[in-house]
Amino acid sequence: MAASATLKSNDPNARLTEALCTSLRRRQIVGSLNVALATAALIQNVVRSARYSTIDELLGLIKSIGKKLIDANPKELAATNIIRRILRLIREEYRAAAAAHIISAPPSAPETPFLGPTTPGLSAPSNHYLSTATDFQFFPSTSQLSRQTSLSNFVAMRHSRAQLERSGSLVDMQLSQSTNSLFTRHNNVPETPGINRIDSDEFMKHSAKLKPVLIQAIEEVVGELETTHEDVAKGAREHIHSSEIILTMGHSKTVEAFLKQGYRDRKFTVVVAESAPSYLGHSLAHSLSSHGIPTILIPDSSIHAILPRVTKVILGAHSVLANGGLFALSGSLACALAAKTHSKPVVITTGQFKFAPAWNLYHDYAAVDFQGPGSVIGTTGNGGGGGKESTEVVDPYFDYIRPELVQLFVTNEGDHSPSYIYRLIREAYDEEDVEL
Amino acid sequence: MVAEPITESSKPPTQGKQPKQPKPQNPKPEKGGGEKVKSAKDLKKEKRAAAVAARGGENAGAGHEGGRPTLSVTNTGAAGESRQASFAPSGSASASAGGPGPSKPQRPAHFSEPSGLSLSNIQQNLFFSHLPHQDFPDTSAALINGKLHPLIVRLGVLMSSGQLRGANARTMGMMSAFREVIRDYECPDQAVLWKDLPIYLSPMIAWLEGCRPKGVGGGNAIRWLKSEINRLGEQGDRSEAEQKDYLVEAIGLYLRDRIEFADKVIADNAKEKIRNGDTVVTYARSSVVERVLLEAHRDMKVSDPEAGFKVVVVDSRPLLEGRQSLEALSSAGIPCTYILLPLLSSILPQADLVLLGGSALHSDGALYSRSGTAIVSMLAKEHRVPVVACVETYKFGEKVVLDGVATNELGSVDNLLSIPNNLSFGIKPNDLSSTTGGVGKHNLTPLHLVYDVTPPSLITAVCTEIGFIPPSSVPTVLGKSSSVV
Repeated sequence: MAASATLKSNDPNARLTEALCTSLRRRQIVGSLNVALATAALIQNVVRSARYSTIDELLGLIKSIGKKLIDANPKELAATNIIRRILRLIREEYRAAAAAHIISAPPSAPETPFLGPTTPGLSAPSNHYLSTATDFQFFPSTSQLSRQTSLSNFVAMRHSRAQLERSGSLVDMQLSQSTNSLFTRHNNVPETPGINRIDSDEFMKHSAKLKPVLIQAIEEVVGELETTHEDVAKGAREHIHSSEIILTMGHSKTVEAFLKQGYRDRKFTVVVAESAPSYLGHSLAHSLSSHGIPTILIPDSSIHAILPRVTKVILGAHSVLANGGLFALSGSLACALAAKTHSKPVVITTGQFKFAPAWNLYHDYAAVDFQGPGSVIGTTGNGGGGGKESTEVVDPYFDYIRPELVQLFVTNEGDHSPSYIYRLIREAYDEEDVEL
Repeated sequence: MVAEPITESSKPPTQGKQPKQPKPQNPKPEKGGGEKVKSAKDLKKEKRAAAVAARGGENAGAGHEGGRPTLSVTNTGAAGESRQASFAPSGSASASAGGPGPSKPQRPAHFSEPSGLSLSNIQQNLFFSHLPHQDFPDTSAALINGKLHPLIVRLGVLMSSGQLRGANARTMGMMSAFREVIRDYECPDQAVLWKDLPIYLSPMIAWLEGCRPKGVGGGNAIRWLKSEINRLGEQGDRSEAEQKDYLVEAIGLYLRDRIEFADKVIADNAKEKIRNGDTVVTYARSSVVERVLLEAHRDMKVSDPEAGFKVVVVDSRPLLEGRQSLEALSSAGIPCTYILLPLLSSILPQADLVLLGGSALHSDGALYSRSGTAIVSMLAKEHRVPVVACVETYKFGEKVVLDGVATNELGSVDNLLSIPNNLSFGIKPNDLSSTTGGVGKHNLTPLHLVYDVTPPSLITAVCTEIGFIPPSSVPTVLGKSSSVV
């Protein structure tokens, strides 16, 4: 949208970005949460120390960093999710700050009090204090596009429409125009340079006040990330019942926290599939059994055989897509399908930072990450080796699970069914950020 | 009760040491000597405990395999025990573990620690105590016994240790062994051969069953053999030598017709389904499927040197039988891909056919095969790849099996715990023992189910020596073949 601002190469932030890109490319950072935390820390640095003269420059800068990160590891969607969150928060904070500033500064336009996010559909005569007439360039250009078509606004619109009908001051044309705006896509509006010139002067004067606010907002994001596991685990009491037998695989920290929290109130047994060739299941089984939870460790081949005795399947996700489908450790599709065959519920525990506005409609073979073949056919340990020179060995890391196989997403902000995920993503990120 | 004298004899060494174990109803430990005079109530308790132990001993973890041979030697001595006795001391430990609540199991001090895995049998017993477990057979007792032919003992050891694996191989081994046994058999004077021979054979059959359950195919073969022996009785007078020759020849014909020729016909039928450029998926190791693929490859090369097909070998832990399949197929020049079972769903979009072998085919069409076969079929159905099971008719069974837990076998867990690639978070087997590690380590049960049941809806067709049949036709085939056999 804005002119793509990039960091100069001698800028310390550029070096930090490069370092993060390198570790992503080499798969040195393991786990979506760690990636998200690293990204948030990087963006915080950028906001704190980079030079920018307008808010659009800052946003452009962050977007360019996001592009670099996603190029480094296209499968690691958590990085760009965090960037989208931060972009949205920056816009919100900026709008709030700018509004407060305009009120205190000598008005260059007729005075109107600030009413919070504009309510589409709310219409009143232009000299009415509730007016939100569109020719009022009150906020920077970004605000026009951020009329969030969220459910709360929709409800407010209906409510206020009812109110206005009763009070008799309904203006149909404006209302219908605003209603339409609720449902049409907001396209990127080309820049109006005049606005920005005004903005940049005022912005420069007040950027000192704005920066701490932005950094604070990013702190909130980081805080939310750090408490993800605890928040998800709060739902454990409700979802785990007594004497359950729960099947899981891999070693998701979220699932581990969920189960350990659940064990405080309920007694249950966990069956862990060992998840070759990463053998993360062994790690989880170790951790759970040391915590006192009765654990049964099975090889992946026994998943279908043991399912008649299992009451529920709980899995972790790597990233959740906009249609409710998810990428998870390979082998999870077998668990989910077997659960469907035996009519057992499948519960996915994730943090909301894993929700990505991405799709996987045509499941590409290359959509999964490939690891080295050594762990599949390696000769160390009792791997045994085998085969001739021309044997092909592949080691895909992820599986795609379609949304029909999942019953429930337990997240740090509540429980949702897969069909509601698109709504959460719509409300969490701005539309213009979907394409970084 | 056979087991009772053992618990009596094991008492004195534990004097003053850990509390006695064969009293699961009595959680409070008996302090002091074990030399008390036993009241009738105590004796009854011990009897019950020993019975539970004998049952529970069959579910004892694989850790017993290492411990038991030494246990049996020290305990049985010259008494000539049967295997039940050797089960009792270690078995009763797990019985007390499986007793009311997961109380800390107590074991007599004179036993060497059987690697501690048995402690986790609490959960294994919870769900799977009805399943037979592969135990290391007590060969010394068997040979002393005198009722088992040495070939049978050898066969039992081979099967139990896993060197002889696969339904066809085991059945052929078993029938060949019985053929030799019958050759060596001498009917006692007062007895009639067709009446005495089954009695002579039954301890051997029981012993083999204890080493490794023979499964549907083996059971069908044994039943056929017994009916052949019965037929001798109906046919009137022949000399003993003639009768034995008849039986030996009949066994040879059975093996030839029902296994070897059947495999050949199956291969001829199934290789029609493999076309040039196909990708065929196979799981673990099946002798029939291997034969199908090798013959298809050979024929395809003969007709057109440029033609060929690819094979994806899917393997799974802990048995890793797919490696042998991979060796055989890639030595023949077939281009192969090797993957582990959880990784299969990424490969299936490119596959054209899935060929599976089986240990048995049950009456509703459910395929009883190596654990993991159901997952392969399930994923194949998800990606719309046809699944063909290659099963000889001697493996057709009359039962209906509901799921993979109802009938199954518990396998060894040692391989399960040793992860290849020396990853650092592996669970060491001694982590699970009670002597090292904290309380938490008792909570981990490794579990290895050897077989699983694939529902008939996941199988597209079954290839047998009588052609391609839908899985639901098994009872029809059984009805037909019983009139033939």
